[in-house]
Amino acid sequence: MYRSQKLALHYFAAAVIFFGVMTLFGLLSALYYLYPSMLFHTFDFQMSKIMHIDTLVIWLLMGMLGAVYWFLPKELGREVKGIWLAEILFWVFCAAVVVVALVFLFVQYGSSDQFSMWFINQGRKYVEAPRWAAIGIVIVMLVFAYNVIGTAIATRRMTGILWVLCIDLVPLCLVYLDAFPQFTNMSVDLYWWWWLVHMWVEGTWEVLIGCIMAWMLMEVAGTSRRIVETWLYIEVMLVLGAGILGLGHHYFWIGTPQYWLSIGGFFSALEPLPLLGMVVHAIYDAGTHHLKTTNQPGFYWITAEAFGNFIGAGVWGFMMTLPQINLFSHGTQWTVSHGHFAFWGAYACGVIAVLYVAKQKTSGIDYLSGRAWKWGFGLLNFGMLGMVMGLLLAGMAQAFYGRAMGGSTLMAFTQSSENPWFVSGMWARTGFGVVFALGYIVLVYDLVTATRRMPKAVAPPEPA
Amino acid sequence: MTPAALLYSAGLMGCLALAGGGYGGLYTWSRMRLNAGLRYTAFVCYGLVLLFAVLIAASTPLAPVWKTLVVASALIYALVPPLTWRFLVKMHEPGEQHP
Amino acid sequence: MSIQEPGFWRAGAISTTAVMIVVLIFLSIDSIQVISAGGANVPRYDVINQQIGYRYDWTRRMDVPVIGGPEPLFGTVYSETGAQALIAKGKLVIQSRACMDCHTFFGNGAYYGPDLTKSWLDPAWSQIWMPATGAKTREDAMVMFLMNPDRYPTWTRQMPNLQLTREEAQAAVAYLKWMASVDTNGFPANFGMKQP
Repeated sequence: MYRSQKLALHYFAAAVIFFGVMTLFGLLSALYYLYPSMLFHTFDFQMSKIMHIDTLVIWLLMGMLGAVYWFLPKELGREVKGIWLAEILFWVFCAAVVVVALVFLFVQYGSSDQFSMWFINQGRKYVEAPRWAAIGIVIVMLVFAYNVIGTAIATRRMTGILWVLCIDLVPLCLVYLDAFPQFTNMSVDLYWWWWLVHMWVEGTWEVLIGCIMAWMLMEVAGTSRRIVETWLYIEVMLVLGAGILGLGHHYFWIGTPQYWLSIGGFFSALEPLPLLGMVVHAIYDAGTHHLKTTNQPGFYWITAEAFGNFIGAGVWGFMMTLPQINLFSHGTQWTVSHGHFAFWGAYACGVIAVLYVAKQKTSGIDYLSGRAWKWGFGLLNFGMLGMVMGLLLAGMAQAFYGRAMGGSTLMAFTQSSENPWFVSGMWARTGFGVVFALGYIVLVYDLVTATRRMPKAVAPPEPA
Repeated sequence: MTPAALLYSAGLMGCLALAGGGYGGLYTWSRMRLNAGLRYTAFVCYGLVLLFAVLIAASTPLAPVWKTLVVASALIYALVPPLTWRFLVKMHEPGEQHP
Repeated sequence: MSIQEPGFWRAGAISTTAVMIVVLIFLSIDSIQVISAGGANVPRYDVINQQIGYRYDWTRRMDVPVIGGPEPLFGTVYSETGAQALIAKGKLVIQSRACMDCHTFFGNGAYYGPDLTKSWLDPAWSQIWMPATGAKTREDAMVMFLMNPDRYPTWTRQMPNLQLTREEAQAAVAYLKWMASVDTNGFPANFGMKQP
């Protein structure tokens, strides 16, 4: 095994831990809606929310970095260039995340000065981490870029997947610099903030996970390089072709010109179509293999990614992003519902699939299946589906009573938040959050023990 | 937009996309299995896509430009699964088979 | 080159992305001009010296902010630089206390607390907090509330006391007043014009 792949295993372990932390604080955040006086003045909602969304970014990022460190040496047939630096940076990264988490847990916030921005809390959603930590992430990304590009140069070999990855590294490093500025003007601040949230997370990450899924399909389904590279180019064309100006649906209400209503609405309305193509592809692959591969959980999680992406980003997006509807749905739990489903489908399922592939390869077993992964798969997906339905119910109640009927004032917000439909939705979200957390526990149990329970040399079942 | 029209319009939009997904999924599955029953069900799903598009155009307060876009996208839904299918089959032709 | 060839789609991916990036750059140059303070949609910071309203515009068919006559904030008429410094401080208050992780601004944030886009115009300040705090003006009631939100609980979801000084609370209020003047394409709709 390459040192790079050992590093990948470290990244996967860290990703699984932070996935757990994210789940824990997600549950806690849900409980505040039901028990608002809980931990009042000790650990208030905003800190729980910060922990939830920041660990979301961290675990997915770590999972994807790990996936690249896993596949890269195999792709190029040599150790990753500068791996020693990446190994050091991994521990620095983990230590920085722990220090930031401790600051969030115990210091929480500072006074209104630059010291707070540098060392306590930047207070911008998703990038609350103080600037010193954001600099750390930039350094991690730069070393990651050096590892990928340096290795490609050292082997004097480039594949289609690597070209896409190398080009993606440029915006992956550059757009994150958007985590630093502190604009006075909220409109300008949110304009660039959306570059970070939409272009970095939803754009460059989509391409990154696309590269990882290309390697995964070759590994799990044995798909040829020509086919996966063709699909990767198509995906990049659709994701960036629609997604770059799809940014427009975030520019409806922040003070930006009215033409963004047309641009954002147009691209959002077309969004489900390419995702439908991906569903067709996933079913085609599943059907070709009759759902039989040497890595059952990995294959199922890849398939879940296509469906989750279509429903989360496609259906939920189509439902709420035309400007006339978004005027009322924007900024309610409806958005939260969309966000949960889209993140789950677009990234989380893919990262979990990679975890299973790495698990199988490191254990040297020929066939990975069993019962526990099915429980994990079922509980996590059922829990997520239940959560997003609960949030959708709550969001619709907010949009109906608080926005369209009440006119969005404090009283309208309060009354819609006490509406039985809203409250029921939040109870459902919490209950299904528990189901999701159980699924996480089963997933971890299975990842730790699955290969011990599988005999070393069992051939996969023959296709029906 | 009235509160009721808001939920009605959004609900129809969601149903349209979901029915589109059902059509795409069932269509592909029917081609894999060569199953006529699945194929009919897929076309029923596409019928629902058209129905939801007509309802959106006829009975929601969305602006004409959005209605036109929704109807156009409903028509494009018809093409995506067969075209993707044909593309996939061509791409996987001899020499590019799954193991 | 046939559509089965990866090169066909590679060319498509590169050209589509390049075109979209160029279009985005042009749109961004225009948008930044429009949303800079003093631009078409975002007033200068010294707008806090004036009355700010929100009214339905029949030609644009949406709610738009209306800038009225003089209405000094805290009884002070701020110079342009003074207003800018105050608003800059307000933004630092909002970030340092992570307001966005409970509230929303222009609908972006955490959804646990109410949206603050037009909070300056919320009738609750005069209907609830002015009587509760005994303050004579809306801005004074807002300052008193922000400094001691736990002293004026209104419903089950209370705002925690974030240890704001008077100076910080005043800066935050100025920020909210300025933000209410931003033309947000009608968001939020019907603000304060309907009864829940």
